[in-house]
Amino acid sequence: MNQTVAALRTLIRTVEGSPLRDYWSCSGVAPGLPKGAITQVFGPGKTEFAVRFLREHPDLKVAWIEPTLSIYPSGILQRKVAMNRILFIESGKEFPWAVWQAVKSSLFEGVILTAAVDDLRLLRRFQLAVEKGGTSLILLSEYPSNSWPVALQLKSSRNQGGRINIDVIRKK
Amino acid sequence: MRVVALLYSDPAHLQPIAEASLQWTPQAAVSREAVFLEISRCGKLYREQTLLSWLQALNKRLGFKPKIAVANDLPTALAMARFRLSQRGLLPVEALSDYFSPWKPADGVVRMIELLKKLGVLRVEEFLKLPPQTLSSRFGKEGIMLVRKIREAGKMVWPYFVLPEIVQEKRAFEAQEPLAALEPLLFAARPLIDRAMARLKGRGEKASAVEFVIEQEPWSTVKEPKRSFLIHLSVPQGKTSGFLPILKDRLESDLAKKPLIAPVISISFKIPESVPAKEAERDFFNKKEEEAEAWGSLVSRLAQKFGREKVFIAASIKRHLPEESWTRTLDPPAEEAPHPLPPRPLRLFNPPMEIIFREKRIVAGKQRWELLDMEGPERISGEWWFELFERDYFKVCCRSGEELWIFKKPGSKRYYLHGIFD
Repeated sequence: MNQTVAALRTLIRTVEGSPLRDYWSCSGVAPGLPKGAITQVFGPGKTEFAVRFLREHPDLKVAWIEPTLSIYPSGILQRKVAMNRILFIESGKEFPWAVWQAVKSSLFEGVILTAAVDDLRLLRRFQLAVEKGGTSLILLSEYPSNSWPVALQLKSSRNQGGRINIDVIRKK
Repeated sequence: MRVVALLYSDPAHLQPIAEASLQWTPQAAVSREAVFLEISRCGKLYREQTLLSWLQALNKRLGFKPKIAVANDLPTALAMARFRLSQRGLLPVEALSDYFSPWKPADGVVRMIELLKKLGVLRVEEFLKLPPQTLSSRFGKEGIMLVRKIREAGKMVWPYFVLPEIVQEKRAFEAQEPLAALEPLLFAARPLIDRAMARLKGRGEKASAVEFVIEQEPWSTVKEPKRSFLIHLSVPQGKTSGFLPILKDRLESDLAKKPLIAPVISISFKIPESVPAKEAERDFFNKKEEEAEAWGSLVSRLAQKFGREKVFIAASIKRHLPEESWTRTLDPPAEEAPHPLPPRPLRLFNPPMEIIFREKRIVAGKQRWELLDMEGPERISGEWWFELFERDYFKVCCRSGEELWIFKKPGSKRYYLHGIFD
């Protein structure tokens, strides 16, 4: 059903002549993570998913923003992701400003934010900024948000073998 | 010898231009009204015309309007700039004072120039054609000295150009100007920063710390008329475009808390600390330099806002203690090979949280997990050279799908939650 809807959307865009969205390829998610849009990932294994995505794109430069730092860089290195392309920012409450600056600088193709963002206006501001800059904003959250500026919403979960499953909850 | 002379009406423009021009030639000199640059030894690096266009661009950027001329010696270049002439033969006799002393005015020559005009000698070339034996009887010792100086102008000794220890630019305002808001203040500060950065570039340096001082009208209600903002830059800055946003953020946050309540009467911009700049020729087909500048500016702004330790690139270090196995840096580390260790979590609690672990239940504060499976232990120990530690780590799979990294010290029954395989 989902595939049919996606195919229809592609067809409509082609007929209307509106530009198609670019995607970063990403295993387990077809057609990938959208460029210039917000992707939200929630559930156990979300960070693992983000790191796996970075490993699949060795040239991608990202800003990794967290209000309170809990990421373990040695864990990232162990998953064969070079750390010299990740700028970590411990932003405190001012993470919107940090996201804004990182996107505006055009230095990063991706921004990963670990924070609960429920404010619709803030998400809309993020959406406009990433659209303009062509940056992918990956939002790692505990819970899903129902805000419409999120272009792709993914639910990660672990099966009993510890493998990560990704389910597409919403796709625009 | 080829000399460029830049003649200014405002002596305050001399020092910044002389310093900024050191990026193109190591030999510069400053008189009371002009800057001189010796460029004959740089002929293989750039053409004369290219240098002149660079100098014009620099002066335009700093808002200066000099008269510029190039000649084979210093006094001729100065005279040609003063009289806006391109040929030495056309120089009027007034130019003799530049030949006699380009560094300071000489009274004896002024009298001689008046006498020459009365005699109908109107050009320097005509003066040189006067019979040498008549010079001393007509003009005294100054006449003979002047001819010698004109003929040996190329051998003139240049005074040593001394660089001031600290780069500082200051600007005063009329008290009536209501300069208390941020935007006009930044607008007024921009030329100062431009000038200071150009001087710094001439020295081959970048600013690692800057001080911006705002002086307000000393009203009785103003407790602190002089406000100083010292900014330590995480990444040294050498461009106004990179530094101005950092200053804007700093002023914005500080002035929001403590606004200016009286008109600003002066601002000054000082660079107390600088570091050597590694600058290369700009590559037209490569954006690396621009990216490095943008990177420096962004990191400095973020560090200014959140603190120097809060913006970093991580680099691994050889420590056994998991929380100490990486460090914060801003120099991108070389690509490292991952350590061949059992899987480590992606989230780490520092310090580890003490948990209650009983009968397949784990409780940490308000959070609870139900144990499904447990792997381990993995003994991590060592570092007797710091403080010996021993920990037995377990990977715990929970019913909720989460995987925890917990440890206990050997012989102890206390468990700690150290990380999550998020």
